[in-house]
Amino acid sequence: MSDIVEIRILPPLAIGRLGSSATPLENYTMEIADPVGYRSLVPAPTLVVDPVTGSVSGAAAPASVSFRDAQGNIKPVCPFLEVWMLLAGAKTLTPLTMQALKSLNADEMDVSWSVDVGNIKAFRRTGDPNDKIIASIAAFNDHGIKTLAGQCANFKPGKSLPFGSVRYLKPTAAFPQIRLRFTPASGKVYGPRAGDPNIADDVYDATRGSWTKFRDNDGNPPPSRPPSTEPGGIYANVGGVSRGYLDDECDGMVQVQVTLPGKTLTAVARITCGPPNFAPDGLPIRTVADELEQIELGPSVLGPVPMAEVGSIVRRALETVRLMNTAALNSPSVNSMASQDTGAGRAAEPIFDPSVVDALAIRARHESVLLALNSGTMAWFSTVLRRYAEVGDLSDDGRRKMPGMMRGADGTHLALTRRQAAKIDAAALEIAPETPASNSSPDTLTPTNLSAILYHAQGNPPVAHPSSAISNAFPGLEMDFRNVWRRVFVGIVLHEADNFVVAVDPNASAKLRALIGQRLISVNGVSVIGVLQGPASPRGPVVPLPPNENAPPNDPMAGKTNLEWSNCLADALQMLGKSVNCVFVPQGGGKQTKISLEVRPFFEAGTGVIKRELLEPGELTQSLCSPWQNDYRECSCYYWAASRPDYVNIEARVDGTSAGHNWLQRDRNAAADKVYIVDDFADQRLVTYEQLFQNWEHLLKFEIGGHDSE
Amino acid sequence: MKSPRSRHLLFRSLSTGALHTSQTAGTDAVPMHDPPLAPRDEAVFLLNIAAEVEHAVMVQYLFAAYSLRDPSQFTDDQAALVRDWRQVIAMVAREEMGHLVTVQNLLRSLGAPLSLARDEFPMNTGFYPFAFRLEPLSKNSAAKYAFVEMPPIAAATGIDGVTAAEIADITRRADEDNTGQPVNRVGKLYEQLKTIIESLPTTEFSSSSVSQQARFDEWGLGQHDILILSVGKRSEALEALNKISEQGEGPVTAGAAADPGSHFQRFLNIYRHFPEDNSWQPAYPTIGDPNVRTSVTGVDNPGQITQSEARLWAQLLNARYRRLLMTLQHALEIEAPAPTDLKGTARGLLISWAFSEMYQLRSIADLLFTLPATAAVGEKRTAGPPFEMPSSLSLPTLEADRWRLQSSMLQSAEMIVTSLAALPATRGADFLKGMADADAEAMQIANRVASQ
Repeated sequence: MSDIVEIRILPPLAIGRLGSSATPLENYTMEIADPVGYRSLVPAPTLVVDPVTGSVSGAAAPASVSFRDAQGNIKPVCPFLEVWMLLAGAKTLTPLTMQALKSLNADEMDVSWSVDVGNIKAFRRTGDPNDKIIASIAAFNDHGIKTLAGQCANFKPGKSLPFGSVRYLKPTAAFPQIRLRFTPASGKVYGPRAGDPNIADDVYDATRGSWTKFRDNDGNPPPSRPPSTEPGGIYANVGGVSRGYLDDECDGMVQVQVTLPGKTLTAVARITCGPPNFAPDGLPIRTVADELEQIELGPSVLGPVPMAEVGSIVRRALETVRLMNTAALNSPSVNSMASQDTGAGRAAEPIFDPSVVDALAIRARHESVLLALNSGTMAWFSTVLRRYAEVGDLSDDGRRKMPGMMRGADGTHLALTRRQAAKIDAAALEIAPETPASNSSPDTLTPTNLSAILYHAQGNPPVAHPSSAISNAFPGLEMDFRNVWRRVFVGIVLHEADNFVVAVDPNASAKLRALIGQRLISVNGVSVIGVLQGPASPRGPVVPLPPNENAPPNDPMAGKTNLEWSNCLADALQMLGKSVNCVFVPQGGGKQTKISLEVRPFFEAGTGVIKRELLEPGELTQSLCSPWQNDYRECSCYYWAASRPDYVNIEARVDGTSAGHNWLQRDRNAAADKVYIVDDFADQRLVTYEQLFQNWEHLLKFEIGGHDSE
Repeated sequence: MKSPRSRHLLFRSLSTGALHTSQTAGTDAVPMHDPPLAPRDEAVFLLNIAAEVEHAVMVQYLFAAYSLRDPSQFTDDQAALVRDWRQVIAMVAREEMGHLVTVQNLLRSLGAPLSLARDEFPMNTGFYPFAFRLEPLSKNSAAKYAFVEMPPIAAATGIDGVTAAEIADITRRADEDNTGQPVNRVGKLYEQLKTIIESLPTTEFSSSSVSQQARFDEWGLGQHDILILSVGKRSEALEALNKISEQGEGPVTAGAAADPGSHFQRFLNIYRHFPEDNSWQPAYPTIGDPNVRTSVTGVDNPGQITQSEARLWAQLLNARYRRLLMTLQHALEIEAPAPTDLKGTARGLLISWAFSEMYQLRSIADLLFTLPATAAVGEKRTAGPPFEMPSSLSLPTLEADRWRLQSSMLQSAEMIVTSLAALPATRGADFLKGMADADAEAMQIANRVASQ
């Protein structure tokens, strides 16, 4: 055998999902049998790991797909990470196997792994490095279960927070590929106070750390306090003061090292984890996979696009919107995009004509668009898409563009990635013939970022893949993808969700240090801010919206909104390693600073792994809710409905409108006239915060076909 | 034989008072009912005529737009032209739809029933801008459309380099395409309507009917070219008529026509670039006036689609067209919810269903243009969307029965779908399955609501 010149871990980003069952979720595929209906979940070959030996003992498909075990506990998603090799002179990757190692006078013991993960949600708020919870496992090459025990300087003596485990699987003749498996934690909540029924363990020492005293929008924060997350206040609190709760999510890196005679090869990948996808027969409209594809391939699309790619986007829009109570969310009198817009000075009005927003009507409309798309008629659809720079358009026309009623990563109305929009634009002109299936064998892969990004590891269910992870992050579910942008320019650190500089590198020049607190307003002449406009009074004319009354005088953001980094930096991302011209302006207005900054390479070459320099362990999830269960109750914008449903068990009333339940409501009356309870954070008819902390796993239901399932 | 509506239609010359059966007999002739009606009655009659004209013109423009081939068959330059033409003509068709819907609002405001009827292949009373023909786009038909949108000849000369010779050619081709009849301008109809509306007392107009009228926010999809205007008072009726005639008639001033975005210039561009020498074929060679009438021996029906698969798809298109018209009517019979009402009505679902039918019509039409019209060996003509009117447009009185009608229409469509699916190799199999699934869902809802 030829020499190995490089190795890879695939997938480059694996998503674990919490659950307390000892049985990992089996593998399945999502099949589209009904052109406009729900996807079917079809059992697929599942790698079963012998708990004693740590080897894969079988790969049969289960009889059925079930998300809970016999005791009702949720099966966690425990992704496999595979090691691949590039041989000298080869153009494709092949699996690194026991046999390959043997042929190079090595064996499985010459493979070692190390893992660094973290949960730094508290640190993100307090700014105290002692609030970081980090679990590191130094190099290991045995096949035992390695517990990821999160350590924190502000924990009580002897306490740790379990993040789950990893295991180097023992290769066998039947399953010879080198693999690691990540098993996430159970989804418990931790805190400071013993005896608190909401928590699994009192780990946090309130006498040492300030997490239990933290409050967003503190009138007198300490100088070390980082700027607030956006949204702010997304942590378990009483009257705005943190309860000191933590969850057992984490994110970070795994590294494999293969020692061969004369050399050592290494590769890395990232892991993260989040809650289960509770509507697993659909996918979100905008996902981390869409982001990664845009980063890799750019925002433009050349030439015709296959219908399957465009159809996927429209189908995902349907899969989100059919789980939303669009009639309720259309109203400015509930927590919705309509009410959020009033914060920008826009008049409180429904987004759409109330006549057309019932769930049945919206679903029928989306289904018909998908059907028309499937028959190749698309030209008009691109005209109704919201473009990323238009998110500040809060006029009737602007808010009614697609996607509707959902929030984007910049806090305003959601826009697709520019690449997604470009595909739809291209399809309006011409549809490409379907690409024939690749002729390469399933055991080979081209060593490109894109093939890595798209890769599904054997045995991993679809929900382990970035295509299942929300990316219209505000802040997100499996990760807050906005964090990847913070260090995109060498030397400075941007806020993940706002356009100002929060820090610079330790060795930064004086010119860079002067940028701290300033706002980035353009990159290579492309603005990163958008104008806010809309009617200031009901049915009034569209006008520039007035600045927030709390805004500082001469605020350059007055009447404006920052645009999400993913889209407004998409062009700059094509200048990797090169410099771009950036313009900054002080927060109080004043002289602009023009400076050339280098764009940091995004991926480890040929891997699809987000570079270590962009994200330290814990940073991908740091701005999510703490604990995540908090978000499930209070973020009632419901724009993640494809993962965290809103409106379920929908059926037609005799008056032709829909009836159904709020996914969180406890009384799922089966009566003919179901009642949907609108959330207001406090309504006790919905699952409460405490119930989520203590028992989310058994209270929240999986939805299949839009109806309560397991 | 003339339809009942056409039989009562006469044209009176304003200068001489003479009565004519066709507008072509006198350029200053205005339409009227024979015998004359009371003003409100006359207004309703003329609005019915207007609805029929808008409906007929819309269908013809849609046919012309859909008749253009898939651009991927052409060179880049040709493809760009074809895409643009399809977009232009489809845009005008959508505007006509807006006019049709606004005319329904006008009828509603006067307390009159909705009017979606039209003669299938009406005699050329001179009232239509041009004779009703379902024909693929051609240089002659492009000239016809340009002529209808053209300002008075003197004003048109010079716009975008238009010469007298070009105008003469446009006129000749337009008349040729119109089976030798001169092409008309429909402005007179709206002028007469305005005159009558102005004379009506304000009490004739119902503001309470607005909640049942079609709203732009429901139907316009944010495309402000589509005029859907609510009418609650006389001034709003006049404004609606002004805007419709302004948009639909074409510019009356050279300045408006000189706007590159004017209908006149856009159709002029099509006319100019449409190949005269058959060097390339932008449109399918479609059978003229396609239909699925069962022919009677000895009765000439040159447009009959007889190829089995095409015939079924054409029948399915007619079924969807029927459901579109009925669902539109049904939707407008249900009051819209108040702007602050969290609880909607079935109106929204019906509107979505109507849009669904529009999209399906387009999909089926696109497919029909790729199928042979007949099974004759060497048949080069393709089928096309027949847009044949249903046997009845009457809506049941009781709401529950209207939903039973929904279910029946879906069942009728299902019968055709089943026949199509049974063919050995049907094009659009996925589309058919999706349609069947969506219909099944709709039927379930309709049955549930009908059970009230």
